[in-house]
Amino acid sequence: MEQLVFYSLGLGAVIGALGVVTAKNPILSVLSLLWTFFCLACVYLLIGFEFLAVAQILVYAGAIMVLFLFVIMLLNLGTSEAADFDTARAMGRRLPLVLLVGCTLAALSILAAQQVGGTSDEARADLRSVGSLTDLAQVMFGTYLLAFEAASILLLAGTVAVVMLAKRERRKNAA
Amino acid sequence: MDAYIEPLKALAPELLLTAAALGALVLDLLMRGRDSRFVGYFTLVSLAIVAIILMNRIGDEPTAAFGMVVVDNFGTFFKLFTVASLAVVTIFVLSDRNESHHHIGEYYFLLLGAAIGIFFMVSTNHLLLLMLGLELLSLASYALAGFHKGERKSAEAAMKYVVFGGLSAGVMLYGISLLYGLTGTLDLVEMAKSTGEAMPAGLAGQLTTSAVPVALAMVLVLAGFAYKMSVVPFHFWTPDVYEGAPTPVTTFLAVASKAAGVAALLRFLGALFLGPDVQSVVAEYGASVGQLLAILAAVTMTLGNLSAMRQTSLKRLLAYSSIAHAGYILIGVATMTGAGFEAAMFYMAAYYFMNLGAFGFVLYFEGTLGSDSIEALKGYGFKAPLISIAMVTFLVSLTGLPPTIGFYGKYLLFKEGLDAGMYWLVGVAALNSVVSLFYYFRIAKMLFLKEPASGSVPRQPLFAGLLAVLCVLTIYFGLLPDAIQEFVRNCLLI
Amino acid sequence: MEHILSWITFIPLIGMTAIICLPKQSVGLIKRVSLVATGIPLILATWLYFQFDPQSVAGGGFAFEEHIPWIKGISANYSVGVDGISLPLIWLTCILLFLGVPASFGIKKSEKAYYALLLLLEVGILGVFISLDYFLFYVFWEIMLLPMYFLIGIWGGPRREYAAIKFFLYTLAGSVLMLIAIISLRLGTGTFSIPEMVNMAQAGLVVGPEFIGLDYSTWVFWFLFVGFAIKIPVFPFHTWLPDAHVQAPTPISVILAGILLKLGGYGLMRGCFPIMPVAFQENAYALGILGVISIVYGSFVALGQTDFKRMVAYSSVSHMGYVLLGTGALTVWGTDGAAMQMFAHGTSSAAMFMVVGVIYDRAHHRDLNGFGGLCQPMPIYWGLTTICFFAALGLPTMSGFIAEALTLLGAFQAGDPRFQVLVLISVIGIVITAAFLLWAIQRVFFGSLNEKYKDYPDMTPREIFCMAPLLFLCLLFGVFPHILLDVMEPSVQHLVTLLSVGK
Repeated sequence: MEQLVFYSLGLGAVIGALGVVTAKNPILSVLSLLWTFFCLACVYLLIGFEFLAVAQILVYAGAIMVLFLFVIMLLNLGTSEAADFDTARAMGRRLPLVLLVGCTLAALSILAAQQVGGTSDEARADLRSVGSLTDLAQVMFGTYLLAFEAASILLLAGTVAVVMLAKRERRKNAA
Repeated sequence: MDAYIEPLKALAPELLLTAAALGALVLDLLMRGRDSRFVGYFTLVSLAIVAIILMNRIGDEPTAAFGMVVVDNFGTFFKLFTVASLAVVTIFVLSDRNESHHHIGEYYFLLLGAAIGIFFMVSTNHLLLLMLGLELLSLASYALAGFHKGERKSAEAAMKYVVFGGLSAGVMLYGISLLYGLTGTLDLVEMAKSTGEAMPAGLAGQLTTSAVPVALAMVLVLAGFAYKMSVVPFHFWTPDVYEGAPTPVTTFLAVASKAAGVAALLRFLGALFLGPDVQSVVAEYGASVGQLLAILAAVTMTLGNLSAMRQTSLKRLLAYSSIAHAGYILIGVATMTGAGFEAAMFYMAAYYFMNLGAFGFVLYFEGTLGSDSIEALKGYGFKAPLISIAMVTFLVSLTGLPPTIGFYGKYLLFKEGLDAGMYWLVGVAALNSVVSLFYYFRIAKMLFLKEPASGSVPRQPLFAGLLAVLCVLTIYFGLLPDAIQEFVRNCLLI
Repeated sequence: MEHILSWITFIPLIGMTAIICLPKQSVGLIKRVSLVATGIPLILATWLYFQFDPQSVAGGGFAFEEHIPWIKGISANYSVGVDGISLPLIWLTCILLFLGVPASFGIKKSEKAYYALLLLLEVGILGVFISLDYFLFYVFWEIMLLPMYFLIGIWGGPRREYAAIKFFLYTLAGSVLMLIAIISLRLGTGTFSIPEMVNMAQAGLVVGPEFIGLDYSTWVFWFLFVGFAIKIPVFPFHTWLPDAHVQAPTPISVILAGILLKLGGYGLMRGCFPIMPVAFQENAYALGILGVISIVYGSFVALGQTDFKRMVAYSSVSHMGYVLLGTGALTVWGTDGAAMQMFAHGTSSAAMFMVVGVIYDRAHHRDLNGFGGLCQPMPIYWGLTTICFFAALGLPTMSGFIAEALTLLGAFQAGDPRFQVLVLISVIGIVITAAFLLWAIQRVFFGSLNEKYKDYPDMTPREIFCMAPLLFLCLLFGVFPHILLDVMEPSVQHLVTLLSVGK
């Protein structure tokens, strides 16, 4: 039963992801992304990471996606913008390659999964112990403090990069 | 409290760089409307301070900080490498004629940010931090590649870079998650020494039952490194991005970013397969990973060199040449021995001089002629003899001919390859050197064998001086490589 | 005079540095500096030649040795020295480079760069001849390529770009094979020192893994052989030579034919045969065959040429075949002949290219059928050309005769009937060589005089100065061959002993 749910959620996530890149309408893309996030959140729930699941829904699906939608609708990016670039056609040409790579990866993963020297329930329980909020905080601000800080620099760099890309282009050599 | 202060000292270079990056950003704001060159000078000074700190660390005993960062000579070597290349890149930015020098504080911030990413990448055995460092570097690089966003080529380059980068990062992350699933740890040293008695099976335990999951994880993780180093088949982005990005950024990608990929790969393989406590079955598995790398090396250098022959743009040509050089470096890596790694590190040092020089030439000539097509080089050697002679020296070094440092580097790689019994690989590499001569000397031919077109070249004496210094060092270290070799030996991983 | 070899080699480098510092307008000064920078090594080399005691190296060993640690990381040393085989070639190099400077006075394009590169070329060549360390040897070997590429490529004829890169690619292809072999030798013997490698080879200690299905000594031997054979050039690696020669400016052709080709032969005698003596013995007959093919093929192709310079270029292929045949025979006479042939061909072919240069400067073409009757307006030219061609075709009293006679006698004396057959075949080459040279003289100097050429001035004193010393040497060593042979003999004898190990 658990297996079945897991695989259907996985399939749902993949279909959602495909929808993100193939949809012509940006709003549809965002909605597909939302669906993908939702499926992932369910997967988290399934393996016992309740907090992560809730955070995923709240932060990504709730806040960020709404912002996305807001921006897209505000700027009125309809289908018109994408008209000159036929995504479906472009995808169609590369589809065999994408399918090939995807299927190979999937097949290999399944093959590999079958040959994994079993993980005991004990080990699984050990991994799951991170599920609670206190544990998560412990891990984030204790064990992985440095990684956490590094991630903050990463976000800062991302912000600056976006500001730089978004700011109006100044003419060259405008001395 | 002390428990936090001590490790912070170990992280001094990273912290300083972060401060410098923020400083650059704030300074640019304060300089509102005036020349941003000052920010560049500020960057140079901060880099110098970081370099001094790093120099003082060479030879110290390895220490660890926060359980994730390893401060050792190997890391320090590549940090110094990064700082040194960043300094030259900063000078490139300052002397770039195609750059408006107003409000480009973000340029320096992103360069420094990328450097912080590299610093994390090269000094960790922990896959999480490695991934974060890699992402930081990538993110900064994407933005840098698209810095001239008004130009179509630059924007396109950034886009391609993002798509390929995102893909390979995803693939690598998948590989890392598999490794984590198999071993229950993200620390490479732990991974390698776990006996597999405890559950999960650990690397050794898994390898005794079946190697397939490990192989899959390995290939996926290696793909991430291959992308950073532009190893075939993850090289597709290289020519377009190198061509479209501003030349100083191209230089950064070709030298510092590639070196970061090499360093991370060396550390990954070193910690996993060549460390002191590695389980024997894991170490044996390393040999087959070496075989895979050898094949990648042969394919990469051949494809890079053959594609370079057809190029008409100098930057594209150098892009393919840098792919080929990634192949040469992989020879040293594929041997899976300490000496082979040493050869690869030496080659990186050689690569530093000749590639910075070659890209410096591109910048100079692009700035004066407004084009980077090889055709436009006709007779340039008679108009700007000094930097053209320097360029020929770099080309000779890239081909791997004496008396330049490139020859010595190639010699070491060949030697280690032969010593490891990979005769066929060295044979392929040797043939590739001959092929590479053909296209490198197409440039030399344009410079000196063609009659010059009319018109003169404006001078940039300081910048030409920098190239001259690189040229002299290329020859000096080619004749007396002991100093560098000794330095590399002090910084070995194993 | 402790570091005399280093002085000889690096004085041109000092000269080059001086030229680089001079302003490019002061052409006269640049020429004078070049003359001095090539003249001093010539004086030193001459002094060295007469100072050298051949008996001191009779049982192996080298004279005027210097050993300085160089790259500690791989224990490569700066070790140099000479023996009876390298010394005459060093002398020849100094002579030809010195004569090459006045021969270049006609060049009017970027003189500064030209003379600087010429001097760098001399450093590379001399370095190869003095090196006793394989790493050093290889470094000098490659340093030579770069100036040569630019000298052909910038100052050459209409198809110079093609010729220059072809020369470079061919030689580099050989060099990388050599490099693999050298590294492998380093791994097998633990040293770069050529004399030590030779000693270990005598004891049969040079061993290693097999490659491309061949056992160690065989593949190393052939890798090294191909590397050197391209330079000689031996058939079928010769195709770069006609292009390079035809496109190169006269002085560069002179140096190319006079010395660069000798590097191949010298390399075989120094760095290939004695290190792999067993493989050499196994393949000696194949070498002989390659030599004879070069002799006969080269002469036939030369016969068919209408381009004066191309004809001379192919005659080089033919003449250098004797080097291979002589060494392959593994007799003292044969090897003597080979060593002597290198010197003899160095002088005679250099003179021949100068002959071509003289007429090309006047007529601006090299079509053999386009001349005729030139003996009337240019009698001195006619006389010198005739002497030069006689030297090349191996007329008695000329050094070429001694060399070829020794080679053939030595090969015949080897006692191997197969070699005797080779000697008989190579006689065809001698006849054809005589034929095309005499026919060339006939076409250029006799017959009806073309009106266009009536007013051609005879050779200028500068041209005579460049050519006469070479012809004098041809005659000198033809009449008194022992001046040369006495110097070579002990070293050659030692070489033959080394090569006959286990036989």
